[in-house]
Parts: sequence; structure tokens; C-alpha cells
Amino acid sequence: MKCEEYLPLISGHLDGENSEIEERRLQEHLKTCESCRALLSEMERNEALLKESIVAPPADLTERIMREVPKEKQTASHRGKRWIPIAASGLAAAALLALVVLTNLPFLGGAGSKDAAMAENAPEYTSLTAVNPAEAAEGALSSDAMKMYAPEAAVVSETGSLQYGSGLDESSGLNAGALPPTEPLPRFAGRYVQTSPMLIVWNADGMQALSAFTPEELNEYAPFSANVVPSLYERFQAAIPLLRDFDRISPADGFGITVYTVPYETMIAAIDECVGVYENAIYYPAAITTPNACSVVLVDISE
Amino acid sequence: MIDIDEIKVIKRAVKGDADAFEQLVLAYQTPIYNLCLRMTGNPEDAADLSQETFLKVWKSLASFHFEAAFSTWLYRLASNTCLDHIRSVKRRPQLSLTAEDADGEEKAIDLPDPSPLPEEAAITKDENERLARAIQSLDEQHRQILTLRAINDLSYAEIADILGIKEGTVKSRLARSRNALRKILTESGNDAALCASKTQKGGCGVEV
Repeated sequence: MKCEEYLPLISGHLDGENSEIEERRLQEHLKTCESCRALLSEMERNEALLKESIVAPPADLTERIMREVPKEKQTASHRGKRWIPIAASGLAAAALLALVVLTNLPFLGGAGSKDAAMAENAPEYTSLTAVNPAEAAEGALSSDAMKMYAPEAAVVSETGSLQYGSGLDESSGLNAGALPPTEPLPRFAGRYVQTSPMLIVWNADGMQALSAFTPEELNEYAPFSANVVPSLYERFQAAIPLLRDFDRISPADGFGITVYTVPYETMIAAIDECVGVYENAIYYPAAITTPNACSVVLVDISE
Repeated sequence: MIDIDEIKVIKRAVKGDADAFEQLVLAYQTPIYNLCLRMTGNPEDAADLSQETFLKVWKSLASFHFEAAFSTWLYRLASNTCLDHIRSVKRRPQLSLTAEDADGEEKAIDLPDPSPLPEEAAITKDENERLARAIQSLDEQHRQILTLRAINDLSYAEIADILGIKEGTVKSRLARSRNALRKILTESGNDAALCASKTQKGGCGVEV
């Protein structure tokens, strides 16, 4: 290795971000290379300079900012929202995992006529891919970036005719990532009752942040809109450890699960679409970072 | 890391609690101000941009759902606000070690007197000024990442999140930035030394 190739290691050393192997390699090299030792000490000095140069903000900065902030309580503009998406930046293993937890969807699975009636009342919902059971079974969905788990699909699941992953359209590049379930898992087993919907786009940090709240706190938190039922909250908590290994989740665990894998490029659009269905959900796309593919997992935590 | 207390403060701020928001301002104004100062090189712009950043935060708090760490979100906002500003004025950020006082007179900015480091010679005020100049002559990308790392002491993972790049890129970009800074400082150090010797013979005419 040439000296210049040690530059990132010297830099990483300053930040304490070298791996053990990198650090060992650097130390070996430093023993024999005077110029790299000199470089390191020069960079250490610059680093100290940089850190020393932190200045206090103007004394009136806080005041200037707070002057623009109205003292009266803001009316929470999203108080009526029932969905909270969480997409955080932590990364489990190689693929970014976005998880959508659905519970008690605001529609009733059942007769098609009921779905049609629901559709009329919920335009946002129907803007999603309308999955006709027959079409879905053939995998003949439209080529949108992502197929949302639609209520019609839930109906299909009850008949057992729709398998996992059949909603993915091969031609739209949806399978570019890993992690499609290998075996058909039972779809949402229960019927959906319109009560306490909660949508969570998840990865490790987001889920952890959520699980730090008690149900009371969640209920107090505006976006949840007092919809967290204690029994469901328990299911939610129980689901968290399982979901970390969602690809190994089994029917015996008692959760319905659907996985969609989308290429990274379409991930934000996919999650947006997924989230967008549920009327008031807000998704903050910039929170999603890195790799090549992501999986959007729908988990039913209804009992 | 999830800071539960901070989450609770954020939660209150999200609901429109101005006092909770003020706590967040107090907690983050120093790193944000320093980020803005390094990015623009100008204390007045830095104060304005810090203010702008926090007001953006206030206005968009309602859509903050803990998708990312609050700090990541904040640094990203500040960083983008600075870049927008730099690009909108369409000039190299001013190297400004002077500021106008109330009478419009230019005066030197008070740089903090650094305390001596244990095993190093004391960092002089000159060195600090030289550093400020050197940072301003780095390109935006280098200045940004060095600042996030050195001034705000963020981890590679956090920087990767803020900038939307991979950790490996953070590592290599930081190495390049440090090297670029080192070269500039070495050159300016030589210039200063040269200038000092020439000054005795009638000045070198270079404003340092």
C-alpha cells in the first residue's frame, strides 16, 4: 500500500471510526513510516484547531428566534390524523427495511359490494391499486411502483387464493431487492373492523422510538389521535422483536405479514404511495437513506 | 440512540409548546450556529441562517414523526439552508474576519482565545484566523463535512444520514477534506512566514 492509501485510515483514526483491522494496519505502517507519522500529528493539530474554534452564538440568538414563535398553543393541525408513519435511518443488516404495521384497517373485509361502498367513501383509498381478486391471483396488477395491500386483497386472503408476493409485478422491477418470502404465508386472517387504525413505516430506530411511549403517551400524542387500544399496543410490542427478523416470521407467530421489495430508487415513491393511501399520513422521504433495495412489510397486528 | 427525554420535549414542541421549542433551540443553537458560521464564513449570515433554520423547524415540526433522529433532521435542514444561501448569493462566501459594529464601522471579530493544549504549543489567535481563512477556501462539500465532523462531533453514521451518502463515502470525503485543509494551511503558513520576513524589508503587500 502506498502512503496516500493510508490517508483514509489516518482520518478514520482521528475519528475513532476505523475497524480493528484498519487500525492494526495503520499502526503497523506508522511504525515504519516517518512521513505518515508526521501527517498524522499535523492532522491531529488541525483537528484540535477545528475543535478549539467553536464559538458561542450571539447572545440574542435564542431571543431572535423565539420572537418569531407565537406563544399561544398552536392548534395541532394533524390532530385528526389516524396514521403515523415512522421511517427511520437505522439500518438492519444490508437492506433498508421499512415496515408498515396495519391494524384494524378502516374498512371491512367481506363482500365485494361492501368494498365498493367503502371505496366511494374513501377516494384516497381507492386511488391505490384496486386489486381484483381474480387479477391479483394471476399477478396481473398494474405496474405502479408498489402495490399496496388493498382491502380487496384481504378478501382474497380469506379465500386463500392469493399467495404472498403475487401482488408484485415482475415487469416493474419490484423484485430487484432481496427478501421476498419464499413460502406463501397466510394473509390477514381476520376481518377488519373500523376502529383504531395505525400505520407505521418502520425500521429499528423508529420502532424503538415508538415503543418508548406508553399507550397513554401515544394516545396523548396528536397523530395517534387516541386510537391506541391497550390490547393492540401489547400486540404491537410483541411484534417488534419478531419484525426485526421479519423474513423468518412464521404463521405460528400469529401475525399476518406481506413483504414487498422495491428498488431503492422507487422506495420513497413506494412508501409515499403506501402511506398516501391512508389519508392523512405524512411521510418524510428524506429520512430514508442508503442501500439498493428496501422491503416494505405489512404486518397485521390485529387479534 | 434514542433520548427519551428529548423525545418528550420534541413531542411537546410538535404539539405547539413554545417553551419546549425554546429548550430545543437552546440545546442546538451552538452547533447550528457554528455550522452556519463555517459554511458562510460570516457571523451575521450565520446568525440569520441559524434563525431561519430554527424557524423552518418550528413550522415543520408538525410533520416530524421521529422518522430520523431530531438532530439529524435539524443538521440536514441547517446544512441545506446554508447551501441554498451560498448558492443564492452566487459568490464565494465572504471571508470575513471583520464585522460592522453599530456605527457601521468595521471591527475585528473577537475570536475566542483558545486555551493551550497539553502537548501542543498554544494555538495562537493567528492560527485560528488562518484556520478560518483556510476553511473558507475549501470547496463547499469539504467545508460541510469537516464542519459536521469537527465542530459538531457527529459520527460517520450520522453524517451519512444527514448528507444522504454512504458511510464509506463519509470516510473518504473526510480524508480528502482534511488533506485539502492541511495543504491550504501549510501553504498559508509558509506565506505568513515569508511575509513576516519580507515585512521587515518593507512589507510584502499581501493582506493576511
